[in-house]
Amino acid sequence: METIQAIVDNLLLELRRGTLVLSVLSQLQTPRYGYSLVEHLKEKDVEIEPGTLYPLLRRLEKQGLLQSEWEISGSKPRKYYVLSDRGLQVLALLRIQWFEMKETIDALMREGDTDYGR
Amino acid sequence: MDDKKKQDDLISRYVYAVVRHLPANQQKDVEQELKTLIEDMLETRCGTRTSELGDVEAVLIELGVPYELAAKYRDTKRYLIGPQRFDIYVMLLKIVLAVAGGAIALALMISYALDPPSGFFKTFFTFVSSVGSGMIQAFAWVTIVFAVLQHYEGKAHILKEFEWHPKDLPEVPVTTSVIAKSDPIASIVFIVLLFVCINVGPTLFDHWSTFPKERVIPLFDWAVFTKYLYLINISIALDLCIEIAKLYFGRYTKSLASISIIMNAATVIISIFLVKGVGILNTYAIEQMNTIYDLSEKAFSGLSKFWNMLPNIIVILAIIGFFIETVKTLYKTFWQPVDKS
Repeated sequence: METIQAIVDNLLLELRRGTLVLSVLSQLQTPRYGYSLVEHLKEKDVEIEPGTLYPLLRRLEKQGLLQSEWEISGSKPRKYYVLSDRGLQVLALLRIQWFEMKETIDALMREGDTDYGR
Repeated sequence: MDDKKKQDDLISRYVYAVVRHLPANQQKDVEQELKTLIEDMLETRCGTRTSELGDVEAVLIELGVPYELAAKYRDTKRYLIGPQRFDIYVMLLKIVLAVAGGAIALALMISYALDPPSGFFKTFFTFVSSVGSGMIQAFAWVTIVFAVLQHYEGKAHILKEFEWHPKDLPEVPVTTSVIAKSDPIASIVFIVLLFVCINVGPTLFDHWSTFPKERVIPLFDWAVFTKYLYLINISIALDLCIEIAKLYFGRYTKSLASISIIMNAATVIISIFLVKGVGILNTYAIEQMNTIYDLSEKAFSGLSKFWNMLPNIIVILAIIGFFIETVKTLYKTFWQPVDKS
């Protein structure tokens, strides 16, 4: 049988995965290239592997939420991503949903709190 | 190679291993992106010191298995035959392999019986290789058909999921409407054997006797038979389709009922056409029998009468059979057991 820790780790991973798009979209109101976004999110305690982020950025671009541009004037060619108008709208709507969801889940979790807090 | 070159080489190999799995129009872009990413990760890892081969290795390990990274870029699971159809593929494959192997073996044995070959080892070798290559072909064709289905339905499937509604769920089949797999499988085996016999050994259907060949009375009019062999094969193919449809649906449904009634009707029409329309039976069978066996007058006239009536009898039997089959199908499709509760 899986250990408690393994189960918790697995479920946490799924939880985080669900919020990744939200995290990424929220930080792309200013243009960033992939690796700078990895570092930037890390500073804010959001861990995302480059191997996950890079394909994700591409997918979001394909959905029309991001637009990209190669920046070749620097030492290395970098692809910068930024929210498109569509992406901005989507982010605005998601944000509202997130706050609602957060309160709902918070309330549920607080219920549990009184039981376990004793 | 100095250390820097080794590092570059390793990076190139990694990037290549990823992008080769991607569509051509993405390769250049992803390649550039990954190269820059790896350099950035190296810089973060090494800071001001120069990177070593071990650093590159560590970074690549962090990025993960190339194939998996490529899969994330592609964002679709790729199947030759998807899980939703894999079970029926395996089942059909087993049937087709058994039937193809058996049919070819039977066909060869018939031809050996009619025309005994010389040289045991040569015969044995051609027998084994013919059966083997036939089965490989069968395997290939089934797989190709399923792969093509997968290729086109893989795209259609996504749309379908949105349109799905609980009312589309099939009813739990009542016991009468369930078709046991063994039923169509047995029919398929029989139909294929019939196909082989018709095409390879029509003489099998001749009046079989232990006398020499010139004393054999053909059941069919040879000229008509060869001319319309394709029609016989078409009706065999239709029968085969019905059985495959039964296997596919697994229960009597309205679509299965319509398919099987229409196809049955077609085969009945074909057989009536062959027997009555073009006269596939050998008209002179009884006369030929008379010259061989020297029948008594009574037997001769009785047999002649029967033989002349035979086409009509066959037509009547075919029509009766068709009606019985149709009623059975409709009954199994629409009959609901009385709810006892």
